[in-house]
Amino acid sequence: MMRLRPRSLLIAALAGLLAGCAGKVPITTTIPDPLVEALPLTVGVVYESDFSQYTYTEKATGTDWSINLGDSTTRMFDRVLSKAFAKVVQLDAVPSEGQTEAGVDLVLKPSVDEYAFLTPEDSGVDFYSVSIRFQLQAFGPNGVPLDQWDINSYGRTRSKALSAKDSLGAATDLALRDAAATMALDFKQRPQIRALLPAGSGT
Amino acid sequence: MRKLRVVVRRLGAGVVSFVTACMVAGCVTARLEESRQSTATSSIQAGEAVVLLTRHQSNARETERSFANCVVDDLGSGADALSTKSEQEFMDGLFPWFEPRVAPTTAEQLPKLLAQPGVAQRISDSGVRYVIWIDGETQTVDGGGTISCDLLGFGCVGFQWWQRDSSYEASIWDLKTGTAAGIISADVSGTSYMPAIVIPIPLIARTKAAACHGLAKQLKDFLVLAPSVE
Repeated sequence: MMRLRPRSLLIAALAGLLAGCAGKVPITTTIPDPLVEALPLTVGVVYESDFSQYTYTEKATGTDWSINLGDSTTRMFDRVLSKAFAKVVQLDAVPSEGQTEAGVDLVLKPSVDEYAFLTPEDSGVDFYSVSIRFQLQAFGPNGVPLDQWDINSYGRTRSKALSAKDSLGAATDLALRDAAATMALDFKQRPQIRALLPAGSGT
Repeated sequence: MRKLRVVVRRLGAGVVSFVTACMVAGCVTARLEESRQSTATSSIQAGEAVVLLTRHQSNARETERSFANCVVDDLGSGADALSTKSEQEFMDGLFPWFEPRVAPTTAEQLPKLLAQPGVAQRISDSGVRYVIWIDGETQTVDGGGTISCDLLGFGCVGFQWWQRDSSYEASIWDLKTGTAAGIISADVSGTSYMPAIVIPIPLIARTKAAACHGLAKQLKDFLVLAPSVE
């Protein structure tokens, strides 16, 4: 039977305390269904592992911040795309040139270009703020690049309302919601995507 | 061009009201102004609700959640209670049209928003007739004095004071007509004192609470009692 010495217990307790102090930021984003008219297109979406497992880490103000965005961003894109387009299918990769993905009008590949945050100590104002820049690449079903654009989003929360981790998490949630709002209305505005719409679709 | 008539009413019966109440808690000066903008505004009807939304666009300021909650609580209570919808529920149901980056900034943009597919129907289903945009915040603008404690075991000695300004504006939009109905503003300033003889005794001027209650009362008067302006 294993016997624990007081010294081992002390080390275990300290390790537990240190783990508790690490800045693992909780992300609990819930994106509502966008109230937009779906474009009559079938979209293939490619989530590469850099995107679907994206985690931002930074050592700032004495804390090792760790912000796991991958799950939330993937869910956010799923939610928006499912309402912005008539049909969405997930693809493993963008079709290479010469190959054609049957039954797909458009292929989208999102990536997180930049994540940044400011604490009240950084900015001198009473807010935690977060900015995220996504990049969206659009391809034809044959892998030919069609379009590429950035979505810049922003969120912030008052620092007094929650703990530092929760404040940063809430600001990140708002930034993701902001990105979703922008994206939901963006597709209809892109000329290269509009050019794919069937004639007389009325959108 | 739509004719815009502005009626400024005094809280109670005149043009502008200055209410000064120096109570035990501290000295508070409140000023409320109402401006009626629409000729088509009518009282809120049974089955119609209001929703209070806060602006998030400004970089340096943002209305406190506690203030918005206070106004909503006041609107929804009392004999003349209004039916209120939750901000989150309303914004979720109409996502993304009332998000900070997308929401209309002026009532003139309302017709374009209401023309978007599904938006007018969703608003109608929610029962919301009026959107009330709240903007403003409470700031400490001045202060001074010092208090020293633990002086040879005799507790605290000294005097501190600070002045707070609570300045808020409520813009009322009528979603039924797609027009601005009016604007109500509340500016409350007050000085809090804290003399300390052995123990500190705070005499707090509750400017934010005064602004909340004043604004909510005026909103109720505006939406329930206001006659049509022709």
